[in-house]
Amino acid sequence: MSNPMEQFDVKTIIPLHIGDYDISFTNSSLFMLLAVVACSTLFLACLTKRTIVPQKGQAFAEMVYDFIFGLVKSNVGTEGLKYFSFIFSLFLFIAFGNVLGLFPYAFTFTSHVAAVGALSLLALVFNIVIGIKKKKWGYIHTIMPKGIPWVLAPLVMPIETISLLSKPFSLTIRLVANMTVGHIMLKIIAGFIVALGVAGVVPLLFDAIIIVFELFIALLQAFIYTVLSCIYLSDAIHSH
Amino acid sequence: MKRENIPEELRALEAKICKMRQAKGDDTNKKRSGRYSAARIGLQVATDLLAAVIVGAGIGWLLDSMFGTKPLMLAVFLLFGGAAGFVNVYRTVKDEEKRGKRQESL
Repeated sequence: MSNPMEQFDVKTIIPLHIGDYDISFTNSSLFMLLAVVACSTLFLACLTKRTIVPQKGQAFAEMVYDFIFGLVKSNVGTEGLKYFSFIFSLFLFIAFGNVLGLFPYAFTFTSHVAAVGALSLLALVFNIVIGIKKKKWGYIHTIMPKGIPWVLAPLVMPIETISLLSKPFSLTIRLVANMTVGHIMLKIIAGFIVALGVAGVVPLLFDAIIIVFELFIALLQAFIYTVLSCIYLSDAIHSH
Repeated sequence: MKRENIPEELRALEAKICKMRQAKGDDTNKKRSGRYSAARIGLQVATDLLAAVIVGAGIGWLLDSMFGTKPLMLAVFLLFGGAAGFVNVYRTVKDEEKRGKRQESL
């Protein structure tokens, strides 16, 4: 049986080096590019023929748009609609990354902490920049809440700082763990299919069920990641 | 498309759909939001707790390697991380409670 972790190996396709940095085009970058191209073409194809009463394709595109629009509106409020394009792109990128990763021989870039972590870091930077822009010096109250005596500052400030920094990290872990676990499970069960011979029908059936479940998880996790980024954004906009 | 450009018959259709929905007592939107929230909160609490400890340990380790105080900072920030984890969990649960109440009142 082949190694179930092998599917997560990053392989270089086009080696590129700038100075000491390795910026090679890898299978991870390939699938990121594929995700962007796939969702762009899908949405462009759906929206080429626009009518007032939407056809199937247009209805699908509008449904996804409305869904995320409602999500931003209910979680961040009307001020949050400024950042709608960012949230919408984030959702599509992760959803397509998750779903593309389910295809045989595909690479799931959302199972790598480096890829998802970078997106979460972007959300963190967004949060801090918006927070400082909005509250100016009052932003200090994020790591030193109002009403706490200054004597307690050495205790409270590190705790609040860690709490602030841990949010994007927790976002990352959740998505990465979900994707990794699902793919390892699929691979291990798939290994039994060949090993068991005729009785391999049982794990085959099991795998077939799991892959449907994984498809559901892929979309659900993209949704959860988006919801939590929204909540994170709303924390920055509405002070507490 | 702008609101005023919509033809009259479409607006009539919209009103008709709204009326029928109300008559049927359509509450699909409400039901959908609550279905997976328990799993979502559970996962969020678990990862929030873990993430804070890891971030705390990371900061401690970084400070240790900067000032050469191994392993003092690591120990201290591990504890801070644990505390931050509980702060995270407390906030998550409190926010969820608030959200739940807001949805009930809708």
